[in-house]
Amino acid sequence: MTYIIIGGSSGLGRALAEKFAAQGCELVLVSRDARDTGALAADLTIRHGVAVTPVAMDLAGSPLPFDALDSVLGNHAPLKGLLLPAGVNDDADKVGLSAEKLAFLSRVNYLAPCELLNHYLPLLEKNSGVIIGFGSVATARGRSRNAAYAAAKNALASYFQSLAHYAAGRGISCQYYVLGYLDTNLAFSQTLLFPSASPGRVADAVYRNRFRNGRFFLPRPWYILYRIVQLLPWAVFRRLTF
Amino acid sequence: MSSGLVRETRFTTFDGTLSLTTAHQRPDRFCHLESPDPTRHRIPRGGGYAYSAASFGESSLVQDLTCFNRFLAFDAATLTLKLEAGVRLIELMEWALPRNLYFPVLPGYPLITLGGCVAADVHGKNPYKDGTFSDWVKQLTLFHPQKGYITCSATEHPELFAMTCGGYGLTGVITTLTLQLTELPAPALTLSRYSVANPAAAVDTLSTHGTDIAYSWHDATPGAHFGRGIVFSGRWSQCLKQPASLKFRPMTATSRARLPFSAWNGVTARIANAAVLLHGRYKHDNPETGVLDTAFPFASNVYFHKLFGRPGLRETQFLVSEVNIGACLEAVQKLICDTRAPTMMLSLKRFRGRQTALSMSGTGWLLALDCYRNERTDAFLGQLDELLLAMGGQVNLSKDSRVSQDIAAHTVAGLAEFKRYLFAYDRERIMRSELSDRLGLS
Repeated sequence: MTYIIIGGSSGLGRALAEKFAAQGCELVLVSRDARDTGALAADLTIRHGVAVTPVAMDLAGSPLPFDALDSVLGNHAPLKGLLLPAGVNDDADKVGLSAEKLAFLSRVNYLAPCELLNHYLPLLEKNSGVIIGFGSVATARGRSRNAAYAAAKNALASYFQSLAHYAAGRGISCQYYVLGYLDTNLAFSQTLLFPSASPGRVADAVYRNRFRNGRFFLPRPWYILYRIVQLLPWAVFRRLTF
Repeated sequence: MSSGLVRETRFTTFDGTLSLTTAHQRPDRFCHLESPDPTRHRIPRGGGYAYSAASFGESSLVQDLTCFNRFLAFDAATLTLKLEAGVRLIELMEWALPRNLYFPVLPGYPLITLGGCVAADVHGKNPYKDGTFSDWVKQLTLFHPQKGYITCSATEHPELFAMTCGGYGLTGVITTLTLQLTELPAPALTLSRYSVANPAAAVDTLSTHGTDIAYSWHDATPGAHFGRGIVFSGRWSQCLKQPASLKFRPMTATSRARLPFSAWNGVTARIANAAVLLHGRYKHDNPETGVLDTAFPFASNVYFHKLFGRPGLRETQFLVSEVNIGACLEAVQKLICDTRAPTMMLSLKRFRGRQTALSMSGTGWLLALDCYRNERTDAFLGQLDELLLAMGGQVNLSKDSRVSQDIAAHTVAGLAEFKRYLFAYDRERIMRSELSDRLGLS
């Protein structure tokens, strides 16, 4: 069976690609830079002997060029899943962000994943497929930093709730992961309050649970922190600078 | 998009003698590798196992290539494999062995990256038979921030290729390399041990053994017992069952130095060496040793390095011609015994290779000496430098963190030519490290 991984060249996307390929799944890897996905596709084919096709696609573009993606799917086994670990944030993302950047963050983190999901929904419904989305603990409560990113990811989480409602009884598995700190390039450059989890371990959990439905926190202890942040009295929360 | 992909990191040489804090980037995609200002000084870094500061330097951005670790193409007809420079030796071997493929030049630690192996032109367990790492490199791709991507090989930009093999990352960031693999001769090795009374006897034994693995280990503590040792001689073995895969816990420069003091001194070094000799005397043959266990002896045996603790160790490696090895061994023994040097172990390998760039290579004998650190260590190594000059030896820059510009000028065969090439190739000298600063190459 074939899985499409959007943002499958680095970080969690790469870890998911490595996990699914190691389990014998065929893959279509989508990222902005064909050099990255091309190299990873070659690697997975050589190491695991599975068919992996790279596709270059910029999620910031509209409309999304589905033709290229659709045509490579014809060379693969039937589509079984769509994984959406793509996302982007911006150091300048604060309340008052320019319209251009606001549109960019909304497009990449919310609109483009929804368009992809809508496009492949009929095929996934036919194949009793899997849809897996990814959000962030940054969405626990709106704050002055990551304002547009958190809003877009919250919108995506809400869309996944709607999708779960739609998918019930239609044979589609629908999951949404709220992720804590991961040891990706983004975390590498930041001073973090808590240890970051290995993307490989998260990918293991995602693969293991791929046929379940619902919203999950990874790593799990982040649920406690997420709830604490949500329940903090406003008088305390407004003083926080994280 | 986030541009904050650089952090400040404190880097330490594997021997623990030099540390400094500098900017650190770990690119995991091409646009990140290319993103820093093209005029910014930088140096690539692999696993971080060099004893000298070849992969970091004052005010140089360190570009850590460990995420560039993908296998790119394999040609089954020619047995050539194209990989990214951040692939580690263990990843290469774990892929190759089940496919009955082998790579002959394997330095002693499995987490060293292939890019690092090219940059230092490392050697394996029998350089006399297998040569050095660069002998097995068919092609390289370099990224230079002001020149872009350049492919080089023995036929395409041959001079750049020669200056990159053993060039310590100073010609650019190696992004990909194509290696020549061989068929795996057999699933395991039989490793034999022979006790010898002194290094000269080891030279005789190693000269006559045409084996696949060949090196010796000696007690180098000063005294009457100086030089007693073991010759390790390995041959491929057609055993029925392939030994289990290598199990080890990764050791880094930081984890190596967790012990706040050095446990090695004149007494403990002597006791440990006596124990090794005793063990070697009663364990003559070890049939069917795994390929990985033989290739990476320091993976599962980390205590030797860890017990040097935070003060670290000093290692020096040098190559001496076949003509001079006898006199050199005598002089080294006299120097160690006369000065009561803080030496611990000595190792010998017969060597054959092609000297390029800053590499230590050629025909002769490789002598490695490990010292614990005390107030006599640097004085002793200074005297050893004089001896090396007198013997016309070549020093291994990746194993010795204190070689001065003056000593290097006489003991690094290709230094003058490399410097001339480097300053013509890259006038602004974008690629810089502590090693290049120390040798006047910045």
